[in-house]
Amino acid sequence: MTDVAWLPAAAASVPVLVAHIVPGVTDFYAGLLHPVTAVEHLLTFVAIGLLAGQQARGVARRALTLFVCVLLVTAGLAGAHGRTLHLEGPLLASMVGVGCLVAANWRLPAAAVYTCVTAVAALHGVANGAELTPAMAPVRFVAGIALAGFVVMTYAVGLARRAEAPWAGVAVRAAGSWIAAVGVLAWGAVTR
Amino acid sequence: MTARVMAAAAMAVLLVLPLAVTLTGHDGRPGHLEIVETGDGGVVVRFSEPVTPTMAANLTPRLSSGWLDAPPVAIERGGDAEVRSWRVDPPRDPVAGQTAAIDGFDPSFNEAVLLRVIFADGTAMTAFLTARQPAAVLAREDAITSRLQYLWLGAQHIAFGPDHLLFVLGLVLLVRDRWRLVGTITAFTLAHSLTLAAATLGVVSVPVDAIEAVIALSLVFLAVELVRDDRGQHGLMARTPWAVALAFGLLHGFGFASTLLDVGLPQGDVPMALLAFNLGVEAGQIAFVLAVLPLIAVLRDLAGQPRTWARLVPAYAIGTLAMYWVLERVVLS
Repeated sequence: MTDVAWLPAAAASVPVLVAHIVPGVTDFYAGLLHPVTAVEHLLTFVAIGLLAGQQARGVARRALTLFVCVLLVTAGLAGAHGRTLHLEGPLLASMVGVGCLVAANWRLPAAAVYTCVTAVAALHGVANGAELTPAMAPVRFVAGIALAGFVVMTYAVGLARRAEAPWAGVAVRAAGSWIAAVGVLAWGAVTR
Repeated sequence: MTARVMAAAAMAVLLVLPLAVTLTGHDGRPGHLEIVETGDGGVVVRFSEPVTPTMAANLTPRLSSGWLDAPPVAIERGGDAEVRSWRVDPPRDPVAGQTAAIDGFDPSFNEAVLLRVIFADGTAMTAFLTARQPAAVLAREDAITSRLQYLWLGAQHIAFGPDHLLFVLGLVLLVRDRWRLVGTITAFTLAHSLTLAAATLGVVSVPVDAIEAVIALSLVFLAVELVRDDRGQHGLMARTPWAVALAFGLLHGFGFASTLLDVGLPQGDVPMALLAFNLGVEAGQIAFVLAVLPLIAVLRDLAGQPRTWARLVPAYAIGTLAMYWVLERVVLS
């Protein structure tokens, strides 16, 4: 779907000189790079982090934990299932939806935030986990995906929580609207 | 307190053990295709392919001149590699301008071959052949391109070396004062630069397997120090982190050198290539620290006053993974 979709495969093949020190670490890195080199995953992870960061601290903390756990479990289940899935539409819909929520800057009820985070994590976990190939070690690949989700979401939560100045809050909302716009454009390109 | 620490240990094991247990399989050692123009006008070609008891040699090197289509003059089978050699006598086609290729790559094993050409005038060329890029045109490299390759190799080594990264992460977690952290990382850098140079230049020689095991042990030590520090027992590492980082940096430098020894250094440009590799390692290390610091700051902000077990999870995760690596490198190697 994206121009950089070959990157995880490249990561899996490049570091041969390191792999002799820590055998088989390349599958972990392939999982780590998979979500961050696909725009539909990366921007949605950023958006869900910004959304969590706009909420109270405790809600943001639990949302982050929930996101990583659900991502881990669903990616693992999808990897075990081993069937190619075509989820471009739902993935881009999640990107547009979460981007719009960030742009709206609503203080949502905690349950609504957790529901949204769970749904997004499950969808993207399934989509990423389904990319597992028979040659890869599932646990390593899935652990890489979960770490990528954790790191990207944590950065985004931090950005939103540090946006105390009025202009910074507006910048976060603008970022949400841009993510939604990118989702709409990509959706248009996919369904053309 | 003990129950909480046990809970942290259990959580760390649950998080890390599945990852550690699966860090096995095909060992990913690169093959080597070395093409050397000799002083008598001939060419010696040597192809070394890693083999294991369960995996035979499956790669075939080719040159566009067809030299390697002939049977090799020698085939040596060692415990972990099969080496095929060819000799081409003059008159012959020039090496420069030919295409070298590897047939039979299995992408699922992340196979790669390090191609190294040494021309008669002392200039060299280095390239990686993989399933994605199985062929390369042989040409003399200019010094800048060569140095950039070594810079990239250094950065790649630290980026894809989780044991080195975890050690740096442990230092960042342990040393909270920024200037002390700068001093500690600098000491680590100085030390591993020293042993990297010494080992690469052949001044010191150490067994790689033993060094790798001790590097893993250094992580165990760091994890223990993290736990002790959390309990308020400030050990040697917490009191003088720079000194311990200096000592362990010497070990990690030998680890970095093993990569560089695999690749080799270009004749006539050894100091600059070594410097470029080291700068690549430093760039990767600095980038990692700069990426991790804000992450830790956000997590500390989110956590507020975390419970003991939650604070100990990183230390136990590092310790569990490191201990697995120690066992793997000592017992399973």
